[in-house]
This record gives sequence, C-alpha cells and structure tokens, in this order.
Amino acid sequence: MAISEHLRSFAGKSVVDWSPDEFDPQDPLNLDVFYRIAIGWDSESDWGYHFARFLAHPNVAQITGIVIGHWASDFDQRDSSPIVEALVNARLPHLKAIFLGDITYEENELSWIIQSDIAPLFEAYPQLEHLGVRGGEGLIFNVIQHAALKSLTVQTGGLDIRILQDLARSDLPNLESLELWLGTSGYGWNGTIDDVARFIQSLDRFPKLSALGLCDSEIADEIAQQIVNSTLLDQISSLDFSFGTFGDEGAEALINSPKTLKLKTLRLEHHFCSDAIVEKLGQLPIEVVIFNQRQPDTYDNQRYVLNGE
Amino acid sequence: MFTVIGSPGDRRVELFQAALHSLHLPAAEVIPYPTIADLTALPITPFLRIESPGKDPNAQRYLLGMNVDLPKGQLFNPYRWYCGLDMVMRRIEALRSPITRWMNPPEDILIMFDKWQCRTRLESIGIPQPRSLGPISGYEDLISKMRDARINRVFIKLTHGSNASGMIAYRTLGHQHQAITTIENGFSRLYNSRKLRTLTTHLEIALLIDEVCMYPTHAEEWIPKAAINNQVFDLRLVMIKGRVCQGVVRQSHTPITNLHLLNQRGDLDTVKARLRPGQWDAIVETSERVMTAFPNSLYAGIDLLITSDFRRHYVLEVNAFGDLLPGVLYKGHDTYTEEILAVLDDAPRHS
Repeated sequence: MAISEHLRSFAGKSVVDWSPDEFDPQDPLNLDVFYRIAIGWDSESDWGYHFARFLAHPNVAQITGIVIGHWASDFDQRDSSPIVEALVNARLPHLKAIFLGDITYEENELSWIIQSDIAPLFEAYPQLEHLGVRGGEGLIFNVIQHAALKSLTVQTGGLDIRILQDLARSDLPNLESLELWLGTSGYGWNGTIDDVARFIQSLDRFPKLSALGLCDSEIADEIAQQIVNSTLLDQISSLDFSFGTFGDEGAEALINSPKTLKLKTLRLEHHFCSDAIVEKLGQLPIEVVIFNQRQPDTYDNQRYVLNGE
Repeated sequence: MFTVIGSPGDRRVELFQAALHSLHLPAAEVIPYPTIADLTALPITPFLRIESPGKDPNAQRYLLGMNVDLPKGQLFNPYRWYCGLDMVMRRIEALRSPITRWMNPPEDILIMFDKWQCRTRLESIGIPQPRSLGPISGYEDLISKMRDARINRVFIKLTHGSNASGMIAYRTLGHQHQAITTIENGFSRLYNSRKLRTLTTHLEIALLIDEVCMYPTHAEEWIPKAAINNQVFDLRLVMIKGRVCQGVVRQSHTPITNLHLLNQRGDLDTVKARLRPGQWDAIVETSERVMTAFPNSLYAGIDLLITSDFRRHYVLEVNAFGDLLPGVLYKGHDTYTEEILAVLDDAPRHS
C-alpha cells in the first residue's frame, strides 16, 4: 500500500489538476505544465465529459503531454478502453507524453485498476516519447513497433508475463528507459526467474536502452543474480531494483561482479539489505541511491514489496 | 486553584501539573476516577479539569465495571466503557460546587465520546463531514447501505471507540474486497493491534465486521486524503477558547493516520504551503465553527482531512481529550499552559 500521492511531475514537467469547475474552456492552457484529467471520488460527471471540456481549450492542440487520473466513479469497475479511445480520437498532434492511470492507493487499490489494450495509443501517436501506465489488470500491449518512444513505465501490483513476452518482440529503436513493476504472484505476477532471464537476454534489441528498472519484485535478489551473468551490464548505465524484496543476496551478486562498475547509478529505494551490505554498496565507485531500509515482517518473517497489500 | 479528575501518575496529569508549576501556580488536587463514587463532595476550587483516565488499569476497570485484571490489548465493549464514563460524568456534575468552573463540562465530553451524537450535532450546524451510512448492524446491513448510497469505500467506526481502536477501512469493487484494520481477532475476542492488518478474503472480512458490530458501530465514506512526500495525512488541530492554537500533521502510508500507530508527524507549514489560496483560512473557519457546537468547552482536538485534490476539507472527529501534543508549542507555550492562561484570563466564561 504505497502510492499515496499523485504525480507532481512527469517527463520533466510539473503536473497540475485540471477540472471543469476551475478552468474556462475559453482560456488558453499553460503549455509549461501537464494537466491531469481525472474525476474526483465524488464527481457527478464522467471522465468523458471532463476530457471533452478539456479539448475545448483554444490551444489544446499545442499540448505536449497529458496525465490521466482516476477515470471511473467509485462504483463503476470500468476499464481504460474508453479513455484510450478518447485519446486516440483526440489526435493531439504534439503529444509526446502520456501517463495513463495516475491513481493513488486511496482512490483505488493498484491491483483493482483495470487497464485495456493500449496498442491503439502507439498507432495514434507515432511521435509519443514517454508512456507511463499504472495497473496491470487487463493491460495489453501487443508487439510494439514505435520509432519515437524513449521511456516506458509500467507500474503494476503483478505483471502478466505476456507483457514481457510482447516487449521482447517489440521494435523500439529509441527506447532509453524501461521501468517495469513485476509485483507479486498474489496480484497477477505469473512469471518465473527463467522468464525474466529470457527477457533480460532480449533487451539487446533496444539499442539505446540505458536505464532499466525491474521494480516491486518479489524475486529481486534472483533477478540481480541473473543480471550479473548476462550482457545487460555492458549495455545499460542505470539499474533500479526499488520497492521489491531486494536484500543481501542480490547485493552481494552485484558487489562481487566487476560488471557492476560499468553502471553509473544503482537505485534501491525500499530494500532489505543489512547495515554491513549497505555500507559495502556505498563504497562502490558508482552512484548508489539506497534508502528506506526495511526489516522482514515481525509476524511471518517475510519480506514484502512496497506496492503489495 | 485547580482540581483534576484523572489518573495520578498518568502523563497527562503530570504534564498539567508541570504547566501549573511553570506558571507558579499551586499543584492541582488529583481525584482518581475510581474514588468518585464514594465522594460526597469535590474540592471547592475555582477550576475543575476532567482529564482522560489514560491507560491506568484501575480507572479502566472502574469504567468498565469489571473487578478483574484486563488482558492487555483486548478490546472490551466500548459501550460498556462509555456507560461507565457517563456515570462518572453525571456524578461529577452532581458533586461540583457551584463556584467551581469547568474547563470542559461533562455533557460536552459525553457527546464528543459518542461519535454518532457528535457527528449529528456537527451536522446540525452544517459542518462538512464525510457522508454517513448511519449505524450499522452487521456486514449485510453495511453492504446494502453502501449499495444504496453508491459508496464503495468506508470507514467503520466503533461509536464509542477511542483512538483507532476497532477501526476498519473497508472497500470493495466487483468481486474484490479489502479491509485494513487495527483489530486482531481470535476465538470471539477482539484485540487492538499497533500493527495494521490487511484482509482480502471476503468471508474473513464479513465475519470481522459482524463481530465489531456486536457493539454500536457506524460507517462513513472513506474519502481519499491529500498526500505530501507520498504519505497521506490529516490534521489534528487543538482548539483553545474557540481558536486554532496548535496543529500537527498526521502522516501515514496507510489510510489510518492515528499518531500512536507508529505514524509520523509532518510539518504544518509544508502543508500550508501546498494549500490553495484561502484554504487555510477556510479550515480555520470550519474548526472555529465546530467549537460553536460546544460553547462551554475550553478546548478540544479536531481531526480534519483535506481531500486528495486539495480542494475541500472535512471534519472527521472531535476529541474531548485531544489536546495533548507533547513538545508542540504555540506562542512559546504548550497546550496545557495555554489552557490555564485562557481560563484564568476569562474567568466568568463558565459561570
């Protein structure tokens, strides 16, 4: 239970709430920020109405990014397909950044967010550079062919292995940053370490990939042990194991591998490393961002991912 | 000059005595809860303060009317506890000398300790509060009320519970269910835990809610709270003499923010900086209006949430003994000192 706050920035710009009560569609939008289009927990109107009003702003065609928040009223268990369709139909000619599902823990449980087939977004927006998606339930990518996409973030409580398989066959020649929240088997993660190993091997198909996050994973240690035996560390400069169950076993694999020194940055927010290992990691001559040390649960001695339940 | 009904040695009483001492006033005479029934009169002092019984086991046994050792952490019938409090308050009322002034009168304390009565009173003066589903008798009743009101996210509260005791945050969507609670249950006994538990099994949740509903319980909408630094928060505002005197930010990674559940205190100035123009003034105005519902009470602690979009605020609870904020100063004083100065300054108020 952890995403408490809405995005304050995305793809380099501040994010501000847009609402039909506070914005006059006659007024121009501020092009220096991204707007979040969402309905409130008690909203009388639906998301489509909000978006239609938003599209009425005179300079809406100039916007370069958009954040989609909570789209379903509390009692509707509605997937994101109408939102995807509305975005596709909007044909915003300069849109380069989309975050689909900026929904906090209190608004909806991560694993209760229902996504949909978002492949139409890639077709409608060939200029898209940054895509973030929250919620793994119902999420479908298919094999992506997209020349412009630079960063892809998929935040789930449990990632369906099909997403990894589809990505492993996608063509993303400009992809620089990939962040996937693998999550836990209780909430949809259905992969094994072998699946992850195969996926890691396929990453050389993204020639520009320099930052990889395999986050919120209950097999973070095993993944780290796989990575040091792959060619991935010859390719990327930033590696992120945040929010998962990463602990001493994974850290020792990294510390003992000379390839780790090829990284510029290692990110470990929320981890289970011992003090001694934290100190050793700190001595590596690379930037190690490590904080939020956790202890196994006092009741069952389990390590928990940050964005689980 | 002061008489205190409270528990000798309890932190609250000690801090109140320290506040008197720092003002060069004589120490208060402390009347323990369990002695009240046997008294024929209360000390005749200008001021009478009714303090929380705290954790003192004698006071708790007395209020519950149970002459046995109470197992630690067990949740006892909070209505029974409230009846004990009611009896003590009436007794104090009867024993008070007419020249003694209340800091807070018993009738207000009793209303604040009955969350349902308190919310009804606030409703009557138009204070914004989360939508209520009313008293609930069990899981089935809750679900049908949630469906009728089109609410899928509620806080279930023991009407006479204090702090986060017996609190359940429950939500459902489609076939999915989730309950976050401070309650541990086992063999038809309920325990308060310092650690939150998350239940996702429908049957387990339904049984827990049924069990809690053995006691007077009501439910209200769970409104998504504002967050800063990726933690949700609400505010505890200490009101003295009708004004906001101090506030703390109760931050949490979980929906239940009560401070003693190992949550953190945030910085009020950081919150104020995030508010929309005029919003802090509106919060102050609401809080002051809450206190007009209790014109004879010198102080109270108001719990107030700001919505996740920072657009609105709602009063969650009014706490009769919610004025203890150790280490937080206002104009150089702690809350207790501030209250003593207020009551000395304003002596005819309670007559």
